[in-house]
Amino acid sequence: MTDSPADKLLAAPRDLDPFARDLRRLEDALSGHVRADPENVERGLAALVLTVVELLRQLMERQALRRVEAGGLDDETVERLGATLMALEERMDELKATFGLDDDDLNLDLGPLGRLL
Amino acid sequence: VIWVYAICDRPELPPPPPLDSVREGELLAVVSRGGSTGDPTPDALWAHERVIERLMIDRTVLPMRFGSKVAGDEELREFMNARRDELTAALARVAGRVELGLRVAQHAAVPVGASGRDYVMAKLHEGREADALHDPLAALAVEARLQPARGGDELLRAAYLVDRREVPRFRATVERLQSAHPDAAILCTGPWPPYSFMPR
Repeated sequence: MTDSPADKLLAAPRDLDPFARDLRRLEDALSGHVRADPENVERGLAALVLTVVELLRQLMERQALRRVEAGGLDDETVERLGATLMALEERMDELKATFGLDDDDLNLDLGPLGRLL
Repeated sequence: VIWVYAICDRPELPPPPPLDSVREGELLAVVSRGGSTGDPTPDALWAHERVIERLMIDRTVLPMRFGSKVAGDEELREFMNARRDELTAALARVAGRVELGLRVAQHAAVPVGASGRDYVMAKLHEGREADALHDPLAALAVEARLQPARGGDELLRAAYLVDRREVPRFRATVERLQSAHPDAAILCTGPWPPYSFMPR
């Protein structure tokens, strides 16, 4: 039986740093009682809207990548598609920064639809 | 308030005290009455996990998430009755199996000052990398659930339902993949109760 979280590591890289942010998120989640003051409500709404926008962005990107992979697009079209996708991603990062949100705040767990992303 | 830990088979087998149970036909819900505040502190979460792992020793278990509660026995019986076929099928699916979790982090492949074409190629490369890691593991699993990666450096996040006796092979495969993909950081955790393979 489990005595500590370390027992659950079946295989791990020597450097666990890439996963350290999860611990921070866990701490936030554990201390995160909902605070319904106006500022938090606004942030929650921003997170919700950005989640939907991010969902659409990822769907678009996936569609576009599929088209490129299928072949038949000329170089100019691929370049234009790529530049657009890159700009969208950058814009999204700016929006997240503006609202002080990171990827973990945008909960894209779609359950059975998970494979869409 | 009744806290529900799991829905199990072998309804004739009572859970170890101080746990209590509610039986409905061939299903047994393992519960505790009162006691918990429901606050998800790390200790409370691990206690929940330990209860479910204890139950997994001698029966098949559909684990409920921490904090699952019902108002009373009647509500619980109705739930089990209404979803009996689904729960029974889920029990059969997870019998003798455990969940293994996988997370892969890898520095984003898009170079600084990338052109549109570079971006597309980098994203396609990331997709192929994720497939190259996921496919051999999914082949060892009865079922696999891809979960959306959380952005940043995360390349892949998935859960695998694996026969208990296949766990060493799965682990060896993860280690082989890690050697073959030194740029990726692969984290594999478990065995867990099949949280990701519950009926929805």
